[in-house]
Amino acid sequence: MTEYLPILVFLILAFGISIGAIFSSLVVGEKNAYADKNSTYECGFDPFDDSRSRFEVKFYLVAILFIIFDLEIIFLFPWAIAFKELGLFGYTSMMFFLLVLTIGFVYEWMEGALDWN
Amino acid sequence: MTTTLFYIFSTVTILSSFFVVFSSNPVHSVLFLIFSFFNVAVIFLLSDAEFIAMTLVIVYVGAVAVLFLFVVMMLNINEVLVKEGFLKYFPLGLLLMSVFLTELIVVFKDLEFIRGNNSGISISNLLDQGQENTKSIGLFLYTDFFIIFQISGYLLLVAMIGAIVLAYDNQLSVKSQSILKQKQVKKDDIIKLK
Repeated sequence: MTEYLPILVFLILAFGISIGAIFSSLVVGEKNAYADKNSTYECGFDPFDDSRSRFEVKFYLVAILFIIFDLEIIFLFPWAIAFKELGLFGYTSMMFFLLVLTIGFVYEWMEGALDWN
Repeated sequence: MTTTLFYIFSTVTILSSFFVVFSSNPVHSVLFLIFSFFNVAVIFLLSDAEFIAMTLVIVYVGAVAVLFLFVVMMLNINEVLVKEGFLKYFPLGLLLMSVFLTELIVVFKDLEFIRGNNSGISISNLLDQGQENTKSIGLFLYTDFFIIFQISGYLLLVAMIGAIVLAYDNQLSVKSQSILKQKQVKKDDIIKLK
């Protein structure tokens, strides 16, 4: 458990610094707000429509394909750690798993889903 | 120390899950969801389930949350309309909630399915070996449970092909650049002197 202590210290420091920055600027900073200062200025105009516009489904496809290979990597971790004890059967099992996913990879490559036009 | 940390992180998890449900902006709820994923990962770490904690961070925060954000952005939700349907769907939500709650209670009341020994492997045996969490998963997943492992491989293959079939359209990208064609163009093909 103790090997995660640095992460905890880092977390506390990060929280402290970020909250401290916000609060100190809130307390120490000079505030004189008026209507012109708070309005949209310099960069121009009110937004035309919602920021949540539709975009092409391609981006989503990339994300889905990324998740699948992410999971493949997750399966590789315990295998790599237990590799010496697993023996030939564990090795073959993983190779078959990788083969199945490689078939999918070849399919998506041939289909052109990885190309970005 | 561990108990205190557990209480801190579980409180933050519950709070951020409440914000997931109740914040008016869907993008904010996704961000709160990511925050609660992180907190749950810490809780897993505290209960010595390191592999699940790292999986949660890598897969859920790294990939699934991105998909959630994409979906939220694509759906183009009108915030007022969402609030309107709340009372109408409340009874249905209550029903579903009670069904899931009963299911959880029934499952966890009777923990024999964990201790029950139908494959010669039990959780307590695994933990008694004094190995690291990830290693004991690795020792059993690829040998004793290899059928489940292979099935998950096929599931990933089906997901991959399904995503391409549904979302990828060859005809969609008509304007594409062919480098081979570009290089083969001669001067005379383009410029004509009269």
